[in-house]
Amino acid sequence: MQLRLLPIFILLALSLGSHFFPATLRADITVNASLSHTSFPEGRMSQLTITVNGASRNVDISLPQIDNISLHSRGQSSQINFINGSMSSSLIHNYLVQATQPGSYTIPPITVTISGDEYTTKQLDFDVTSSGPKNNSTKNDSEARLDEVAFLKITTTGEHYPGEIVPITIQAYFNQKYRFDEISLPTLHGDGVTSPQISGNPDKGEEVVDNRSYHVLTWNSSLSGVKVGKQSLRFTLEAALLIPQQRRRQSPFDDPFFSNFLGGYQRKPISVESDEIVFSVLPLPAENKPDNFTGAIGDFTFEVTASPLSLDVGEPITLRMTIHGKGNFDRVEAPDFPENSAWKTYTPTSEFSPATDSSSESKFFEQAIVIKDPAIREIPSLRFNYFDPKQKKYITRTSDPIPIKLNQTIAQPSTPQIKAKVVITTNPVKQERIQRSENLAPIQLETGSFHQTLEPVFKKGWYILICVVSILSLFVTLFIKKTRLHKANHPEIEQARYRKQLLKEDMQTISQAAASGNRTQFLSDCRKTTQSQLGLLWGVEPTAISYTDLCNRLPSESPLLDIFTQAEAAAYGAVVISDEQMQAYVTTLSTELENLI
Amino acid sequence: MKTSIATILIAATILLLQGFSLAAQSEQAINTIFEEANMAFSEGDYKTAIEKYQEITSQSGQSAAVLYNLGNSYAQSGQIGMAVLHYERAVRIAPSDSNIVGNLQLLKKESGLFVNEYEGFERILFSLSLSQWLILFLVVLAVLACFHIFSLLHPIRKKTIIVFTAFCCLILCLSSIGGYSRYQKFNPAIVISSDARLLISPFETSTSVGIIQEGRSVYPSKTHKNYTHVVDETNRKGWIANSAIEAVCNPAGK
Repeated sequence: MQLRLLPIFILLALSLGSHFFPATLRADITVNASLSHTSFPEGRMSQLTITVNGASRNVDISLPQIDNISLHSRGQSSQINFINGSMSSSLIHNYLVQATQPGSYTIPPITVTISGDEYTTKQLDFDVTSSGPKNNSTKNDSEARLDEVAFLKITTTGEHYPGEIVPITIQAYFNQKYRFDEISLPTLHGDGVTSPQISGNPDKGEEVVDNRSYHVLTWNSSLSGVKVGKQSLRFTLEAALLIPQQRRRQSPFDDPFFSNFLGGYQRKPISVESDEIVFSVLPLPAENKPDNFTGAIGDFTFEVTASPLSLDVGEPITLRMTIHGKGNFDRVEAPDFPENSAWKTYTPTSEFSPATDSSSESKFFEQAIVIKDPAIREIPSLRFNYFDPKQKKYITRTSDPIPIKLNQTIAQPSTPQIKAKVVITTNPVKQERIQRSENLAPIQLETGSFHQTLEPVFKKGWYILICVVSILSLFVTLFIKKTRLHKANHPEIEQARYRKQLLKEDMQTISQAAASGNRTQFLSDCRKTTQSQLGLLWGVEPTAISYTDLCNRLPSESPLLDIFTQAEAAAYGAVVISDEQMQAYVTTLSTELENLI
Repeated sequence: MKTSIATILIAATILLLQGFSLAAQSEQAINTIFEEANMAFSEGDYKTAIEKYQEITSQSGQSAAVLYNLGNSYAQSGQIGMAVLHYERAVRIAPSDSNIVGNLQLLKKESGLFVNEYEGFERILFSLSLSQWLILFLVVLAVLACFHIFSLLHPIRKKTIIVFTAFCCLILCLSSIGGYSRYQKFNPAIVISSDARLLISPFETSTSVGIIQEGRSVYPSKTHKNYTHVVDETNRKGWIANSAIEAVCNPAGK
């Protein structure tokens, strides 16, 4: 029972204590402010410490506004001491004082409100000195300040050759006093030099430079010159500097943890640059340069193996060439197999084996070669050329000729011998193949559509149908186009057809008039027909054609003149023509006008 | 009269339904064999798998999937020639199936069956398969026809018509030549025997020209009794036993 009540007593005691202790301590509350440096150069900072003795909560500090001075909160800490039975508590607020201009400054008394009571600190004076006259260094002040925060260091490089792989180390130094975030990978800036993609996992370490402790990130990479000459280059790296945010009010929980957690930092992007370095790229010497030099630079060894070495004519030999060492393997190509009509060669395949740790790298080439000449007794020696930058000369590695044994003999046809050979050559292949079959793509689980024959697609009905339809469409289209073109090029044909049709219709009208015995109508139709046909022929308005026009443009003996005269006369007076004459006019008119068409 | 027509219609319907039912049963049976074959393959019983897949091809014809699985089974059981043969057959049906093409190339590479290489214009001609050339031909032909029909209905500049037609004709010529070149090699025979030899005469006791590797392609030109005169990929000529080779598209269509 008593044990059960113990927690309640403890809570009561704490509650009472929280009420009584501040009251007991309130009488001893003091507030002090101090600066770590009363004189510091521009670009550096001094630490302002405000100590509140006798209180550990409900403290509100009102920071003054000072021109060219910014105060950055660096958090707070509290302390409770029991000395000889008496307890004391203190609360310490830290700020960084940063000046943007040199000069003498004063921090006026700072008002600290504790549980409604106001306390003030004493006035603080300090001087910000200039960072000194500029030296001959190319860096300006801001860069110098940034160097104290972070900087990049690149290992120096000497003289190299185009394509040579030059290992470099990039070290990024970050001052341990500051916090950083979002650190990017170093980026190369410079023409005429290339660098492979830098790994995202640098080595981490610590180092002290000028009495400042730095976190150091180290990347191992390489440079390769592509242009001859002195190439200037530098590396840059982006990061975010976390600057403590100036806070006017305490967090509601009055605790440094919550102060930092609830928006304690401001991100300031910074760009860290290395010093500019000069990468000298010398031209490769032209003297003694091998013809088949592919640009390989480094230090390499060369080995050639072949299998099988006992074979028949026509059986392929697999030539395996290994180039081992250090250098620019991207320029390492398979050595050329000597051109010889006795051999058929296939394009080699390559496989690159990158270095593990500091070991050398290797590149393997596999090439199939087939003997065409039974007189061949050895695989000729192969040559691999490269340039050694240390010795500054071209090196040629030559493989030894590989003797081979041709089993095929023209005069030995016996079957048992063939079978014996087969046992030797095929069994190892089969065993090896079964081991390699894991690389095959897996089986399919749907049967798919079945085909009774394996025939090319052009024999299938749908293919033939589409082809025929397309070709027919093409021919029909071309025919139509040609006809259209012909009509467009010869408009007189169409006109003649039109005139013929018109004449046919007019002659039907004339015949009907003749049949009905309407002589006036007959002659009027004859006149109109003559005018319309001649109008189309001469390209003039038909009604404008007169007897005079006919006289001028038709032969004098043309029967049309007589018919037109009769028709004109009929238009102005009574003209009597017989039925026979009308029939004769119909025939004559038709014949004459058709002749004109 | 009406009764007899109704009887005929009912009988025809029953027959039709029976036909559908039989076809469905047959398809189900094929699927069952296919699954059994796949199961046997998964268990490493390649001999049974081969028998089952062959049962399917003898009953229903050839499908790319069955031929491919058959090729895989032969490859796993170490019969390179038969594996290449069935992959080649599967490629004839599905030339763009990456699994088939990939396995065929892998098998050839691992078995030392290096693919013949082409240079210059030949490289262009052999860059596409026969089906691809033929489809290209058909598509270009159809497009050309459609273009000219369109040009009838809507005026198009003469220069555009000439350039487009010339371009299409060029593609048609190229695809014709490519298709023809491919068709020449559409039906090779594959060496399926591990001890095949080229002989200078079609007799068993004849002198050997040289060994010819299992899985290699040869192009038959004439036959004499049990021997076929072939040209291999390296232009070697000789007689080979009929039993040592099998045509990719054999006359029986099997």
